[in-house]
Amino acid sequence: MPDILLDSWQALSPLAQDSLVLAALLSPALLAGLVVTFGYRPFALVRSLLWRYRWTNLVFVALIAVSVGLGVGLTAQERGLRQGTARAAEKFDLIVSAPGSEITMLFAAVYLQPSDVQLLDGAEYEKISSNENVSLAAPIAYGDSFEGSPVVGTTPEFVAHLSGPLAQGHMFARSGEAVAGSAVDLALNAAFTPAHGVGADAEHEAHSGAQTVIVGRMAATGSPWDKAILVPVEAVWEVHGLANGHAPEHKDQIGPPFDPAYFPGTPAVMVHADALWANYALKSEFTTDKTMAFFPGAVLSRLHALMGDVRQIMSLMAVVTQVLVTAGVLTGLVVLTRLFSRRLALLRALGAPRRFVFAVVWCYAATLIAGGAVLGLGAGFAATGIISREISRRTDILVRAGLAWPEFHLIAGFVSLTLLLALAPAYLALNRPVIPDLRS
Amino acid sequence: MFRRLACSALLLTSLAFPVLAAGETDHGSAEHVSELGGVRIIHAWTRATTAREDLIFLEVENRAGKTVALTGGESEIGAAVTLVGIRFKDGAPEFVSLPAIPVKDGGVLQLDPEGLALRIEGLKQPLHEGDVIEVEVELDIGHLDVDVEVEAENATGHSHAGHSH
Repeated sequence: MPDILLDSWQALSPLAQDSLVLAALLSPALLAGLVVTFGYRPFALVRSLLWRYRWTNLVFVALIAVSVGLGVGLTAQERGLRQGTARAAEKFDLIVSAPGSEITMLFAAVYLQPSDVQLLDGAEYEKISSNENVSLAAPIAYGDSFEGSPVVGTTPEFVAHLSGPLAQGHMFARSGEAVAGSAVDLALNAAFTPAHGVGADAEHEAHSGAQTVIVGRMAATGSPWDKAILVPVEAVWEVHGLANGHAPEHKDQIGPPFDPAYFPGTPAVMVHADALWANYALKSEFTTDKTMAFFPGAVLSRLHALMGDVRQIMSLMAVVTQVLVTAGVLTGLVVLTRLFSRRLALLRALGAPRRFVFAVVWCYAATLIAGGAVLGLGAGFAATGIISREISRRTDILVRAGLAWPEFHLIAGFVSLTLLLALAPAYLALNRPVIPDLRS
Repeated sequence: MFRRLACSALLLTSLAFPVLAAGETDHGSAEHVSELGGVRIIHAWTRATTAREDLIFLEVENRAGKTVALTGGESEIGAAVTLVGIRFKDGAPEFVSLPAIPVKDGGVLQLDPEGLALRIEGLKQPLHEGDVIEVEVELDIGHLDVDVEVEAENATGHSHAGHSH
């Protein structure tokens, strides 16, 4: 592309670019329509054909709608899931942990899928929390649970960072108090005893006596943290028989600063810096032989890139499905034109120009295809809404899939291609012998 | 006498400017390390592209005995070279212009595809895999000419990464 065109294109807003692509994709269909119908008004005849064979036509329209709906639904869902997982990680600026797998730690610290990992000790935590550029260094201590909800030890500052002001109640202020995620099925003032571990192997009696009361509830975050119960990290250490992060003279303190000598360790630390540039400097600084630092968003993006192949396969499947349906529809159109071949032959016997008959058949096909595509758009909307809700329910990640420009482009391309291919059945109908068709 | 002076000047110039005069591309080997006052820049690389901008990645090692700041750069093959942070919004990367980033004495600053980069804007020519372009990296203690190797379009790291220098 010449530089001047490239520069002009890049100077356009994304909305303008998408609109132009849509117009370009639709233009072959519009152009074909203008050329085919030029000088004629075949629509009254097309209407009567549509009505005369309405049930057959409806089956064709439904076929196209299902094909288009499935295609755009699949691609929209994939994008919605990708964006939902990314949004769930947005509050986690930088994670620091012991060296290991970034992906394992991403799943553990951000999506609360715990794994056994090495702990960061007090000295390492002290280096992080005392860094002049760090404004929040929150331990994330997971491993306990209650009836499927992970119980995570952290600090009040992290809870505020994650969800903003609480939706109900107040922040935990001592061991034995907890703040529930928005989707936790425990009311304010309800008491529970955390189990050691998660899932079927959780030991329900391991922490007996460590009764905890829900004193607050977070606002919804759209992440698996909505199903979590957050407690002071001191409480997690205490129920495991460890020091609680503070010297004996400060044993009732909740939250930082922690005393490195009494810091039992944490699987991960969520680090936030007020200055944007500082996050990048901190990542380099905490990438050492004793600590691993990573941006969850970047690791997730790497995973999404790996899944790019899956996305391509899904897109290919959508296209193949639509091509197959198109082939079926066009074959069907050839058969359909046989249904009304006598009427067409009569038209020609009465002196109707060949191009008028051609226009009637093409417009008839175009109406079925365009109607199917528009209905497919609606079916796609409905399908993405239903599937998104189900995925959100199962994963605790808020997925808000909706149709967007890529889907509109896909439909526009499908409509244009199919309408051009529909010239073939119209041409075949035109070349049928008039006399035998009149006698049939 | 003059000939000896000219030879010395030529030798000094060749030490200060590792491979090429600024703005040229080369299809041969490149220096993997550039050094200025105890600050080393290692494994500078970018991706092959036909677009008008590209990202440059490298490592800054500071052994200068004091904190130094990376401020940006310049190159004759592009209109501007700026320091940018890469962050991910809804899973898609977006670039944020950044001010100078300090590197503590003894520290390392990584410019990589998941964090920081020098963005070269207004590229005047396509970059092909195997090319070497020259970029002047700006530090608060001075400028440093760096050979930037052009890797494959989808590269995720310098082909020489992992080697120590």
